[in-house]
Amino acid sequence: MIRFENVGMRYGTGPEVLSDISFGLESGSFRFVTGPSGAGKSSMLKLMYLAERPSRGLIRLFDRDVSGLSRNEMPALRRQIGVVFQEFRLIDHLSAFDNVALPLRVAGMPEDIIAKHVTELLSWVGLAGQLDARPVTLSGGQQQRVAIARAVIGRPQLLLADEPTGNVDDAIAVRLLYLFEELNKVGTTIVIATHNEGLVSHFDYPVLHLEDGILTTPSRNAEI
Amino acid sequence: MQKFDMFSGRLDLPLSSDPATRLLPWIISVMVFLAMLMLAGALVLTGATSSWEKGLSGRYTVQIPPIEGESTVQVDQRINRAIQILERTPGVSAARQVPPAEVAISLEPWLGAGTSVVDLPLPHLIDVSLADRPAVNLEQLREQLGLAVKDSVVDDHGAWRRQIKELIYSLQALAGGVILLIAGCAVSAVVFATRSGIAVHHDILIVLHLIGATDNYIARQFQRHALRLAFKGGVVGALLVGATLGIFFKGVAELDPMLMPDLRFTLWNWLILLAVPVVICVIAMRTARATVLRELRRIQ
Repeated sequence: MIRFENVGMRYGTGPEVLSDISFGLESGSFRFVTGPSGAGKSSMLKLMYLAERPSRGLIRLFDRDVSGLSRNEMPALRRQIGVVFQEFRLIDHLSAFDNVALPLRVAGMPEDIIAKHVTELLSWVGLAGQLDARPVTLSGGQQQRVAIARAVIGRPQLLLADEPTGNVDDAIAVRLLYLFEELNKVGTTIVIATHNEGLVSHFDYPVLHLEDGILTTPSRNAEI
Repeated sequence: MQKFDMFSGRLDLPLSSDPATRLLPWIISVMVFLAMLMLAGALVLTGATSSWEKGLSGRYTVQIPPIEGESTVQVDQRINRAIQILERTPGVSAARQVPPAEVAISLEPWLGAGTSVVDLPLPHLIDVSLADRPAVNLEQLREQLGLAVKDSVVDDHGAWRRQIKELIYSLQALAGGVILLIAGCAVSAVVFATRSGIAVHHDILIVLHLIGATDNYIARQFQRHALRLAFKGGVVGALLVGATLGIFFKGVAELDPMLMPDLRFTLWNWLILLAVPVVICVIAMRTARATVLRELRRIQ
């Protein structure tokens, strides 16, 4: 599903924030991306959700070389990827319902089906009573659940989450990861970037560990 | 259904709250007002001058200057001679003397009522109607009349008609130029408002792209917003023009029709005029779309 081969990335003319990254992920797999702040976790996820292009190397997503994608081909590929952004990036003037409905609207789904799916999903994440609430009126944890609902509403094949547990306590963080685990069980490939090593230790999934933009493989992967 | 959706559909971007777009309906209403007024003026004047031109085409006027000391009988003889020649001329369908009373009515607005034209040294006029075919040989007619009736003048109104035509073309060119200028201003205002919207909502646009929105989807949002604003402006501008023209035509109706050209507005004129706000709406929509697509290619 994802293949990185000797990928390097830099912002503008700055230094490389990722160097010689090579790995592959099979469809239906679950990976944590760990590393200290500034190690390049978010940058690696940005490459995966096509927000940035590599400055060198090869990236294949869904068996397609992303460097060869035209502007018109990007949206269809992006709709197969759900993203939980680090700061959620909810749209402030839209209600929780409309934020979650966005991926379906951009895909051109009829409004009656959108209403059914979005109401169901928001109920599932415990926000049935907050459909019309604006993001600013929601707590950090509620915003996070709206962001997760938006990421999964389109039933993506690949779900990427950048520090999804950053704003919640450990108990809620573990519950959120169980939610991702459930999605993984129904076939969604999950990649979660986090610097919370304690949280990662609750789960038996392989880790892609980054240090200063370089991928290292921790010994726990061999154990798994 | 799609057009209705274009008008009433939802917006994912809070474009209505953008400071740069708040003034846009007012700017567009002024543009529509000016464009419609310019067009109305051109249509009224074109109509009036066209009716002048039509009235003169297919007619000649023969002038027979008075001769001092000439008796009424002699005058009538010269006029009849000229009419006989005219009636025999191929291409002439009818020729009649313009009665002095008719001449007096024509001159009444300038000379006042009750003036006797008989006392004035005015030429005697013969109104000549022309058939569609054959064409009159004007040079030959002038020569024949000149020999038979001394100092007679055949006026084919050519110079006057040429001047009227030039006036019509000038009016149309002027109206076209001004309307193009106004359309250019409307385009600039929409481009500015759209660019401003793109800059203000840059972060939302990135999110929309990342969740799979196409450039067309985003462009439709701006296009829809521009259409709504242009429609508001168009309605206000059109209402103002309606009121202005109402006052104008009411004023025209009170003037002496002898002094005024035929200033009327036909159904076609109204339809052409009402096309202005529609065209402005289309221009606003297409401009917003083109601007968004160009800017999106630039920012990502």
